[in-house]
Amino acid sequence: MKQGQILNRESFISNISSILGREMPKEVVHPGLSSKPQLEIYKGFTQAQLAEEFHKNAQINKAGSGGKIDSLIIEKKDLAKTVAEKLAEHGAGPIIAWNDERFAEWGLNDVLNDAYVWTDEKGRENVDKALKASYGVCISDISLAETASYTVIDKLGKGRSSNFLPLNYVCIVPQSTIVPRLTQAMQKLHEMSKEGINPAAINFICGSSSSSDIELNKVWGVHGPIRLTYLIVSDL
Amino acid sequence: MGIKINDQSFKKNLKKNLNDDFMRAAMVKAQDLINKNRANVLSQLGDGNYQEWQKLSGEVRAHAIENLDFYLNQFAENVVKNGGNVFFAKDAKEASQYITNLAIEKGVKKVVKAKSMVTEEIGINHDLIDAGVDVKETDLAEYILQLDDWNPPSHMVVPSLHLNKTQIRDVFAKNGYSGKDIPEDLAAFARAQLRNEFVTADMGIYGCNFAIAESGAITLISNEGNIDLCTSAPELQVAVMGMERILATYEDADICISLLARNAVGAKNTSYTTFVNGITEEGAADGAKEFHVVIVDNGRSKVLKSQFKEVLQCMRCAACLNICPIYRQVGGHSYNSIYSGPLGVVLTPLLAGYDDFEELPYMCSLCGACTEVCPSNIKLHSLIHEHKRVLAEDKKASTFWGAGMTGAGMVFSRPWMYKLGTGVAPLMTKPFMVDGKIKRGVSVLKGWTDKRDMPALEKVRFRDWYTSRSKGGNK
Repeated sequence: MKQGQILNRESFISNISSILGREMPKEVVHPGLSSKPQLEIYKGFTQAQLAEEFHKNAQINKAGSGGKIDSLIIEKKDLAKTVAEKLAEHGAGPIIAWNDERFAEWGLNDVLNDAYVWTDEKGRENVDKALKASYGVCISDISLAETASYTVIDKLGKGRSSNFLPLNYVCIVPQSTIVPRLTQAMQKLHEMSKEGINPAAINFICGSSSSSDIELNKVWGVHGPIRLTYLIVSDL
Repeated sequence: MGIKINDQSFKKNLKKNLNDDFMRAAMVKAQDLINKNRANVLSQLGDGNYQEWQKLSGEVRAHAIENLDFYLNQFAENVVKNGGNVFFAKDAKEASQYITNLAIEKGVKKVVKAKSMVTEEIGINHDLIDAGVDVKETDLAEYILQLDDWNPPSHMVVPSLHLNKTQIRDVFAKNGYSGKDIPEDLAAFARAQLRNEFVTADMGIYGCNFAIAESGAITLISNEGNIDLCTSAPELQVAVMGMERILATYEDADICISLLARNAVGAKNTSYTTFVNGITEEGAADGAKEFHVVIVDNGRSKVLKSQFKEVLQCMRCAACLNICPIYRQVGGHSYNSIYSGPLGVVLTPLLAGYDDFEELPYMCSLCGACTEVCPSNIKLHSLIHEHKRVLAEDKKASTFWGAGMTGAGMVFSRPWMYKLGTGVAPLMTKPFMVDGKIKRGVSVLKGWTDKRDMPALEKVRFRDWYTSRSKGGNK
């Protein structure tokens, strides 16, 4: 099959245009939203206040998860020590980390010395390592205060599977990446898209994998990570 | 499977489900729990003015539907720019054939699949299985239902709501489970069974909550993470979307996503909200190397043409199911459609025809609760009323129902007949009375008296009582 194909477009679209009583317009001007209540949420908050809100909402998620989610606000000088503690909290086990130079910049080389580093050149071996990993370590690209969500924007070296397969997850949330809510993240994706940048995947994550499919009982770790710890770094 | 879930008569389905005490209790529990949580999270949304958000969501959905041709075209162009392919399918058969042929052409042996209503609608699972492909449903509920001999879903968000944990244990026991009926243990069994499947599958198939025209992104919303694993490991991926799932911009998506989880499960957000934009960067070790989007009409363009087009704004959150007093009593399978509740009542006859679903519009008391909660601002109860009108005026209603309504119309439009009827009604119902209440009815009355008693009709008519009272009577 030839790639980059659009099949059956003409008949499909012209049928819709005909139902709508016109030819397909060359341009549509979006009327805009009649109000913007989403911009009022955490309006005017400082980065420190947003970090507090992120932490507060993570604590609410923690309570709802029976402790499967955790959140700490720390300083950069305590990052290595705290990451080391969190990587040992639920027993020893293999660690997988992104191929990201920020780990070295932030003094995490020793802590991640034994970690498997996602190396795209090694192909599917990476996925096998992620499948067996007890811990994953990542860095939030955009962080949403309202829902305590971290965001992973796909890029070489990050490995999508490494974000969903390990049993436990430690996510470093630089305070500077925190925005009020999804609204600001969508604005960023809109700007990126206008420049022709559409990353293959953008994942917003605000909890552990969970399900209520069995008699509405909430259970954790159905497919993805069971535990998630946010380390909000106030001076990053 | 398609839209229709079995070939039994509507009445037989209804009777069976009304006798399923566990299922009925599960519906009540689900509605109560979800609605309590929903009210809580909606009160915390901004200044708690849900109606403002509801109006906005209705606006952005209506705008997309009014310009569906333009936005679908823009979306398709952007999918291709992102390295993907687009197939426009006029019906379920075309959609399923395209995916099945793709699987055959690429030598796919195993598919991991995430829950999606439209893939149920096009019946892809059985076509793939017939083609020799091993299909693994990965959403916990859908996995349970697959193992239970493809038991149909009964709720859009919690598909296995009708099964209790012991029934699930028994289903798993036939597949190697030896533990007790403890939800955590059952989920752990599913995890162990499915984990390796994600990374060894040749193809991932998933649905689409929203498609963003301005970038070509598919938006997926879930709690389990199985969708994310379906979008991570397999090299060949297919997203299937109903053509109405389109949104113009990321800003529009913000409004809809902000309402979806809150209305669906009473949570601020689901654990995972994902945007997929086609193939990965050159050299990436995982993610899609080949990406296809199948855009499905399957009757939606007929809906667009009709007075029911507003229903295309639906975002499949199930808020209407969760509030509906009828759904609460009868459960999802009673609708005999993969789309149940008020949304199913409106949508199913439009997509699958009145012949098989003429009873559905009467699964509604027109209380309007569904309209009040709908995050897409769809006047669902008005659309259900419109179905009733169409059925009555186009004489599509059954002979029995039509004769009954004609008879009622005659009586109510002729004062002398009304007076005579209401005068003799207490006498006529006497044979059905026990201990001063009507306990055994016939015909339409039977449907009511099978489940509850009806108060005895007063011997004195209200009008007579009122006239007497106006004249100083003491009754």
